[in-house]
Amino acid sequence: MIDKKLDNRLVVSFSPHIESHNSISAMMLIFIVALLPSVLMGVYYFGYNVLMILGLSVASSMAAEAFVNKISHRPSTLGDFSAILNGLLLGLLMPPTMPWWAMVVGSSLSIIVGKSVFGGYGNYPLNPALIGWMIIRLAWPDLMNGFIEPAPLFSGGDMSQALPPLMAVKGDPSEIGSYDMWRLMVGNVPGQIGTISALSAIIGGLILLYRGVIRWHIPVGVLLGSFAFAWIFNTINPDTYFPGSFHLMTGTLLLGAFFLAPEPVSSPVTPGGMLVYGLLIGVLTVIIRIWGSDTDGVIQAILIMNIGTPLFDRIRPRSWGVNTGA
Amino acid sequence: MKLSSLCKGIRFPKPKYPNVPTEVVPIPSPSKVILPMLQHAGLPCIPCVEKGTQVKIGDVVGRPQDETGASVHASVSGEVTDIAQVYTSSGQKSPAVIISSDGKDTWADYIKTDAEYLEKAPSVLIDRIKDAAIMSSGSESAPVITDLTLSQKPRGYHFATGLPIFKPLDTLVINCVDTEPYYGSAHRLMNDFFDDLEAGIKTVKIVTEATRFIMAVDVQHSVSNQVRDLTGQLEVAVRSVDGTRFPSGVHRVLLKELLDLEIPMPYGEPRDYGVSVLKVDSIIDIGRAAKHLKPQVEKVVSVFGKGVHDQKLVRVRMGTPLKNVLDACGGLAGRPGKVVFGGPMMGMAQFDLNVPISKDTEAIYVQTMEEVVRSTNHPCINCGLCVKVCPVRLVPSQLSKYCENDQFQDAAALNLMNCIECGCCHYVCPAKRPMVHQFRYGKSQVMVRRMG
Repeated sequence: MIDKKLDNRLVVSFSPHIESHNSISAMMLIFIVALLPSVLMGVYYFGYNVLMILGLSVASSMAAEAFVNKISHRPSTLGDFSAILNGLLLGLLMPPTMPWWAMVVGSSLSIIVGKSVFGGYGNYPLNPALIGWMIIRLAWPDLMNGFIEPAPLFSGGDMSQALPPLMAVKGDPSEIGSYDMWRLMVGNVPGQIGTISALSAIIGGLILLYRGVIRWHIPVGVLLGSFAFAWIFNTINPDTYFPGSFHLMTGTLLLGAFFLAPEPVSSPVTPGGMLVYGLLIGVLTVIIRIWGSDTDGVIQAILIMNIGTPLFDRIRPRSWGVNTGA
Repeated sequence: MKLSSLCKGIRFPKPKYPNVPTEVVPIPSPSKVILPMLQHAGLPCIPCVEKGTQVKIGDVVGRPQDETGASVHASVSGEVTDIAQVYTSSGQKSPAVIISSDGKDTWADYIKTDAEYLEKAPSVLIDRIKDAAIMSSGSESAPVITDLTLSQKPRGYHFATGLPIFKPLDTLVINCVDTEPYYGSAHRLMNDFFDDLEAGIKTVKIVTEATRFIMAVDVQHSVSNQVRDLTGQLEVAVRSVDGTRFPSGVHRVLLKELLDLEIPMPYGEPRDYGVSVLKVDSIIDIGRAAKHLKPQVEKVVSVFGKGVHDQKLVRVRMGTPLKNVLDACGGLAGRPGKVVFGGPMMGMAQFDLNVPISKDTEAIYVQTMEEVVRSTNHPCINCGLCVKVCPVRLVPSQLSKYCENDQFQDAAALNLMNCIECGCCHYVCPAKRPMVHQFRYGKSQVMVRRMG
């Protein structure tokens, strides 16, 4: 009975013979779904043209990926959704008045210069979305400051020029009184599309943590590092330095802690390494915010710490029976 | 908090197919058995029968060449038809004694029940266990007697006399947790072969100098009152282990969970720490050897997976060809994919269904072609899931990159040799990198270089 069936030969391979349902595309999809609250808040406060910016960013990322696959004669990698995530993240870091041509150039360059030249997903040293952000920022600094007053949908408010909280308080520290916690939570402030609302970033982060796509070390490191460092200076001189909670709720910090810093490829993998990496990003962010010329500093801090990822990975867990002295 | 304690293996999902039926079914005695002379590490046994010799169950057909081996016994009565080269379940070629059965299943003359076995001197019982040639099951196949007596490797040397110092055996762990979560056999053995288990534990208590006895049971299976009474009476501590969390049934990981012992590979052995682990089926075999003088000629094997018609817990003779076992389970279902000796995580895929069941076979896992998974050569995406699950706290992603690029010394410096090849890293990898394969290759290369 069995011999007859053996016309189809048996497969022989190494163990294990089963695998989990984890896949790169599933991970990317979870990231994308977790970003949707931020997208919704952006649309709610800045109108439908936000969708145009995000759409363009995603489309140019995908087009650039397809183009590179084509000219390098590689199988298409669009199916792993990493290009979509890259475009979405980059779009969310843009101010709502970003012109279409800058978005197209920035997004496609982020894929080409930030990702494909290194060999695609899995090989790049720095987060490509942040590379794209840096390119636009260095090429057209003025466009990056095109912040407007938020006008909730259907309220008919006008879109006048305005300064996001971090810029406003850097010019005039007394402004801090006008931002209460709830306002920063829902994001009724000027700012980049995806970073205005702290609440949506926290919801997204909890989705990621719940699904196990990221681990707690990096977000906790970033939040703890920035809060503790800001708290030290705030205790020394509350008039000049802002409290840690204000730092946490403003700018790109929460989006950075949950989405940009734990981006798999460019972040460390060991528990200790992840924690140190996160702490240093938090501390560096606050240093840039307090003494730097930039008002946000999260993206610069993450890019700098991305470079150190191989070093952080040297903080390994102690394997069994090693250096026990016994 | 220790950061390093965060790596703890993987929790298995409930299997898609129904659980293995929990009753042990003996399968019909095969018409032909193949008894490989190589069922242990080291040199193969020497056949001590010739073509045409009449044998009975329990007759010795192969004798070991040194202490690391154990003799091979006939598992059916009949005539030796051939002594030929065959493939064993580990893929090695080995000489084998092939016996065709006369269907009578007569036992050898020396086999008799000894009701006063408990009054015998320890050396007598040790000889009986030695003669029964019981091998510990699992990947580290060695005669169980080495687990019960003195360690071969000295812990150190006396400063004045220069005599070797051996660490005495103080703890003996009876492992009643399935090596892999889907086997479902260990707790069944415990209840079904209660008499032999009782005899086994009593014998072991006489034979070893160990003072502490621990029985590790799977928390998902209830321990019967009978076993509970026995352990209470014999002062065996029963400890629950989460069996759904693979690889808690693997000896080294079990010791970590029970005793917080971290035994490094490949040179560390539990015996060096005064601990030994015996699987529950070895204990049962010890009981049979001491009480009935029976050698290890049978084995309970769990046959499971989507690729087999009836999942069963079968009691088979040593040397039964795999084909006969599968036939007794209704044959292969669907398009056959893989037939694996062992479980889905650590088992060994077979290319031939004539391979005999040997002493280290615990389970047979059959996959259909649709279930066969494929690994890729996608670059590591650095997600860190493998670091999270590694039970021995390695950094598999980094090791895998080193082994991929032939940087074996770098990999060895990151304790590649500590890998227990449990497969958790490969299981969770989103990029489906063939990590266990790379580690095995890397380890073999490191060993080759160390030996010069």
